[in-house]
Amino acid sequence: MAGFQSHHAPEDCINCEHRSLRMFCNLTPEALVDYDKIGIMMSHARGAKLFSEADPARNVFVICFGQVKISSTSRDGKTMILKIAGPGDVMGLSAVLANVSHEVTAEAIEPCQVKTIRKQEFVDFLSRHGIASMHAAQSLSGEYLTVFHDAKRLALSGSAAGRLARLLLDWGSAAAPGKPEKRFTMALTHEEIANMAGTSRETVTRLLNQFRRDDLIAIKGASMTIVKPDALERMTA
Amino acid sequence: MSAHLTLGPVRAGELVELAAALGDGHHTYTLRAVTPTTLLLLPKDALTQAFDSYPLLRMHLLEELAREVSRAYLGFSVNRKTASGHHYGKHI
Repeated sequence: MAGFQSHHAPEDCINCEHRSLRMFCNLTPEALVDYDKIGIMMSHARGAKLFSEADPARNVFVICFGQVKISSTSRDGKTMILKIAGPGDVMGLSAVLANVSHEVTAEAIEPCQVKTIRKQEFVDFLSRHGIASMHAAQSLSGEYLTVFHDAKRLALSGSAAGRLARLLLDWGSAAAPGKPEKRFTMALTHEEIANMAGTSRETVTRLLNQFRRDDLIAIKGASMTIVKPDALERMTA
Repeated sequence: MSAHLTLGPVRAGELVELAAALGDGHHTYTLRAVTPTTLLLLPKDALTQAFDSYPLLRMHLLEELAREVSRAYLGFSVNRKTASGHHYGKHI
């Protein structure tokens, strides 16, 4: 998404300076030593697919650096972006633990580094460490909330403007939690935003211009600031 | 106007709101009985304690939670189709 800060790639988990900021990898020293021994670090170029919808789930992926687009495609070929995963996010977890195929496609939208852990290796690790299991549960809960949030945004907001407003507000809140100024870096194209808001690219372009003219948002290069969150919030009702 | 989205039925043997209980503790949806129903309520604290203390149960709960997420993805893709048909503001 919008809003994630890029960091330098860590060389290993034990010496990773960002670990304390990340939900899943912020483990006890004992669990961390074990976690460092499992899986392999893999680098992916922009556009690389980590896994595709309906692929058998053989690995769990933890993003160390970079951003990954999580999407789903309908039978008529329409793609919907569910979220942009960032450092510390765990991908493929629900499919691996539920023993089903991947429900979504994961594609790098910038060069990224991902810790890739084989299914059984990961399950064994979770069974050895309660803290890791709790973090996995929290990660799954977060994934669950994201899916619900997306479903609500698409199904319960009656207008494209409302859905886009909701998306911008969510990004603003994620980028600056608790801060009055909601500013974030917009890493997505209008086409990709349209895929998240369930509308067309043309509508996104028109609405962003409209929001800017109405001083609801300010755009400077790739940086977007939400100027009037209350007004955007009213659109989502 | 208030809008409402029906996510689907829950049947005997299914765990509901495990994600909320193991996550931030806030319910994600409304659960309404459509037939006379008997439920077993697991208090959040007891669930968390069980999660901490019993590795086997912990793995079962994680698997159940993962299935709940998978079902949510499935529900999302079904509702997406309906949403793209502009059936907003209705019971879906």
